[in-house]
Amino acid sequence: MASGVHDIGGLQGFGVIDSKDDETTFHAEWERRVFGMMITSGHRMISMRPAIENIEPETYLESSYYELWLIALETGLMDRGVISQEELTSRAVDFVEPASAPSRNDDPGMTDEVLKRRYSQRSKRYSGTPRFKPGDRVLVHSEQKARHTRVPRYVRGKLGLVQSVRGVYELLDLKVEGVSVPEPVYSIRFDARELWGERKEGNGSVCIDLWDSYLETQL
Amino acid sequence: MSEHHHSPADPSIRAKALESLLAEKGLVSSLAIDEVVRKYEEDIGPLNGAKVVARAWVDSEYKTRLLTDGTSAVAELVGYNDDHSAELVVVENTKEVHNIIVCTLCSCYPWSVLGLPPSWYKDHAYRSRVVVEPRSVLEEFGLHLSRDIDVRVWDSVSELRYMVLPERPNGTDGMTETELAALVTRDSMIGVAKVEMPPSQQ
Repeated sequence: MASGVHDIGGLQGFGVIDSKDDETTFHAEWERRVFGMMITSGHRMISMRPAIENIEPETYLESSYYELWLIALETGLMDRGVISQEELTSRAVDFVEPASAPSRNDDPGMTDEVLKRRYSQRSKRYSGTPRFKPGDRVLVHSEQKARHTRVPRYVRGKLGLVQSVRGVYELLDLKVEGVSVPEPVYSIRFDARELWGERKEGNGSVCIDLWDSYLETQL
Repeated sequence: MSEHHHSPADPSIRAKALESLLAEKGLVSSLAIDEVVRKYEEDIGPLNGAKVVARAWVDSEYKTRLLTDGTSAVAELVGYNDDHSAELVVVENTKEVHNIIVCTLCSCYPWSVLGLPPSWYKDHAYRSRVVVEPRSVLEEFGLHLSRDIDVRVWDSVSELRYMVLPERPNGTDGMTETELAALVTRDSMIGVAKVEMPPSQQ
């Protein structure tokens, strides 16, 4: 299986960075609501990243950041049968008039629960025995096995050095399928020449956190 | 891939339709949405990170804790502000090493300390280029690094988030923690800038 269009590290042709485009919040009210829906409840009902990665490449490249979130919510919730295209289409008619406001759910119990969940906890800790230790040389699997994965294409088949064990986290490739497989995660350092060959930029490296099953031993 | 991925309607209309349906089904809390939006617009921003950096500059024990367990050390100062699944790692800039953060696969960013990311951080140009040619990218931000500096790019693709602890500028010995925090910019904690003294104090 190959990479999706979202796996963009190392691709050429996107031009100069518009560092003056500094906006950090929202350009429109609908962006606020989409952001809020996703981070309060949406991300628990759908798998956000896979839903974004399923968007057609042309749409992915053309859409704004929060448009991608909106499409992910719509398609993810439809795929799970929570809402239907018919419901969305018929409900949209009510809002052609810009002044009309959406329905609200102001249930205080749910509000408390959602906010407490978001702001009061630390992540769940898992335990596991690391296969690698700092200083070990490891090779990243060249093949992408799962549809959703967190291995960028540019490190596949590349040799790296384990810097530290970051802890044990559920492997996201399977978590998005509803399967919990906690695995050690390592900080791996890749020399820039290993990734890109000799280049005029000189020394440097890229550091990435990778799950245990992405790696094999390199003696 | 299903065929409903294209929708011709305006996103503002679609967002209202979606929120209405989810509110009517009891699946979202409108008040919680109001509150998280307000929080990210008003409370959670780079000032959190600046406080953390300033404390690390004046308190070496805090700095050690910050570099060992970023999540706990940040919570000491500013509380837990992020989605609880994200752990924070702080990487230190020195005379020899310069760190930069990115997420090439999506736009992971240390919300708890920096708030929401600037537009350029989410753009294809930054995400695609900074892992290959960080020095050229830094030049575009006006930061020129000498050849002997070791440039480390942190591609935050897992559940961990990264923040850069920038170098304390020279000439700030007499400054208070609050004065120091005022010098620390968002861009310096992403790693695309250094912390500078304001021209009036140089």
